[in-house]
Amino acid sequence: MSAEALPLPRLVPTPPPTTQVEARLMRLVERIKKDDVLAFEELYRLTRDDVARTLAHLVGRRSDLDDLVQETYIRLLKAVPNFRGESQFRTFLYRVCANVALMHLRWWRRRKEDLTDEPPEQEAAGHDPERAAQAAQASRLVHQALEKLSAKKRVVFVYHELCGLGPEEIAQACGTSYNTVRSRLHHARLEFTAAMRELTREVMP
Amino acid sequence: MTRHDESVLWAYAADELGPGEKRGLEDHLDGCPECREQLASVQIAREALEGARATIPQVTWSKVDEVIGALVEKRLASQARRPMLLRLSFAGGLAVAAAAAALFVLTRPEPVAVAEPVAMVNVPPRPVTARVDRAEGLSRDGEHGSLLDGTELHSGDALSTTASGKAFLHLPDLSHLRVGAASHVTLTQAEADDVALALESGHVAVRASHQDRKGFVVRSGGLTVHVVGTVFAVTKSTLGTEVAVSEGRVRVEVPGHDDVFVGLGERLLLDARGKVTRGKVTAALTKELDEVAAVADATMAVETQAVVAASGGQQSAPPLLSAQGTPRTLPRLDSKTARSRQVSLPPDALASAPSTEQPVQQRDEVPVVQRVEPKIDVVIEEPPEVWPSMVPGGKATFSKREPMPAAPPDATEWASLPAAVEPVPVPVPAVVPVQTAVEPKQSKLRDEPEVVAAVPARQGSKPLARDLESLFMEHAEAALGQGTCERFQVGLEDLAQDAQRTPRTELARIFRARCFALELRPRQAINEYRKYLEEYPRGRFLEEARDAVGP
Repeated sequence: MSAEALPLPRLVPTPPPTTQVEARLMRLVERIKKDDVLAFEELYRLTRDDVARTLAHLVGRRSDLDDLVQETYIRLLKAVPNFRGESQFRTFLYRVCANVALMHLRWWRRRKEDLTDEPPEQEAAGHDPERAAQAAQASRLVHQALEKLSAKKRVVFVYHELCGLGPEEIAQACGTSYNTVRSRLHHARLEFTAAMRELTREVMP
Repeated sequence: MTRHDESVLWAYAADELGPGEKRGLEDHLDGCPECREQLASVQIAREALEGARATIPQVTWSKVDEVIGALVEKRLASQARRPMLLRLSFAGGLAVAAAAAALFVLTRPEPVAVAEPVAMVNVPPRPVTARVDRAEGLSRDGEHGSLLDGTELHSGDALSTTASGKAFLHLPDLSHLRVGAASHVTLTQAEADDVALALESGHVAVRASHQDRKGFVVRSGGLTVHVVGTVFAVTKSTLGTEVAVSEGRVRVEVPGHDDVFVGLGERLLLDARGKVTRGKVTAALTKELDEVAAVADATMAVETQAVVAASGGQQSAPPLLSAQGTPRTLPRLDSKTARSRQVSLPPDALASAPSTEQPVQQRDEVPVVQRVEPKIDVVIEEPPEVWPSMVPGGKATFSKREPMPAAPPDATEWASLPAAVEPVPVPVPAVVPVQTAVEPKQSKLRDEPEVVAAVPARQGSKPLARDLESLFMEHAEAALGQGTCERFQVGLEDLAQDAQRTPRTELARIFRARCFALELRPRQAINEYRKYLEEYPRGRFLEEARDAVGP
């Protein structure tokens, strides 16, 4: 079934980041291109939380998130000179994250490692313990459900549903077409809902 | 809605449907319990996603920050020493080939005048003194007026800089000293084999040479800093006395404590209450120190060449001979152009030089035996104009660093390269047949600026570059065996990143991984092994890499 034939409605593009932030990132990128490495350090400070959160969603509850964040910035430093400014820098950054995550997911699945090892718990934002516990539980379920998705579907799903990227931006970040994004998202949603249904049934029989 | 399509339900929950579609679906839901159940599942999934979105992943930011900081520092260091790296990376094969060819020509003995270099070698060295290379607002206690560039300095001289002053000094042991603004420093001992400084206030940055000597000591605010060969800074302010190291390490005597070693990337602060705090060198200070090192390297390059020329191509125990300071002939250039310091030879220099024992005279002080000289114009640009502003004392952040193996005093990449310019394999077409009576001057390569020239040398550039690469690899391997490979990591990375995969690039990647493993930096080692597995899926060291990366 082609993507056009899917009954998937139009996807609502989410608002882009504020132009101020984007403009600041672009200025830093220009400085990095001129060999100003200290600008890279500043860019790292500005984006590291977002990168870590994105990677955590993309690869799931892994204990080696530190390494992935490092790997992302090492790649980013090498890649920035090739950034031509044809897309938003945020999209470019997500592309680097996606590449790192895809490589890691493939490597991880080859290892067929037992995922029952409990990685470090994630913290929930805010100070309400009850809400924090609920969020942690939700996060655990979501990541377990995401494990059921293929790597590519997972990237599209996470970018749309968790990172708030629009389909065009996802297409740029994944180096694929708009229709492919729609198709992957369609299937990912179905698989994710099925996985969640199963998991909630296990938790609340 | 004529069929139970979950994706439409998801779109409904995500408010992605148009008003008409929405109304239609709601009508359908009223009469379809199955779809209502499905919608409930979708809503639960979406709520879970909402909760997951709010979670913050746990990242050990101190570790990641350290790695990113190291990455930035490495880049800064490579920028500060780009001319050297150009040599290391062999990207400028022509420059390397021309440099080696020029060296080869310079060192080639002249059959007719074999005995004459002896006379040149016997030229007695001039007395060794410290001197002012460049200064603004520098004065000597007890004298009126500012010191001029080139002023000789002696043991016991107390120097001060004004609030906007700065000075770059050349010490007799080939070390270099940058004195910051509003500083007061005394050259307690300024001999070729013994250097002692006392910093009473302000800031000094030192590029200490690897010279054998009795000692190199900096005393300030109760701290005594013992130096081997390294790049470091000492700052004395109202906060206390701080030692920061960007290369090598220093031993610091702290009153009331055991001696402390301060290593690469670390700083130590002794505050006014006698409390010792350790932290990380700031990126800005690292940049300053790297620039000081770059200036020192550039100056050394000029001196080394002058010594070689003066001694008829014989690289002697050079520092004593050459410790005369930066040649005064250096023109002042802006920092951008100065970074591209180079020696340029006219095209006929290599092709038609009939007699080359005495090709370059750079300094008036160096006596030169009169002989027929080939016309070789040497244009040496000035080292970068470096006057970084004083770095304000930042907040010390604690960081644990893996102990780094200390490099021996002479452990530089090029210091002991064996026969780096062994004449035989260099296919330079226009040179006269070779006699090996004169020992090759490999150490000259270490500091010599790039030589751009000589059409005849082009044909030989690539093989020569490859020869140098293999020598570099041999040297790196030896250092790996001795556990002192850290200094080779940058050069190895340059080789490993070569787009053309060869056994040498493969070996460079493996050497890097082994070196990290040796330095007890497992994460970096595994990263290198991973890169190896990606780059060389059929490589020679697959087993080693797979073992390291894990199943």
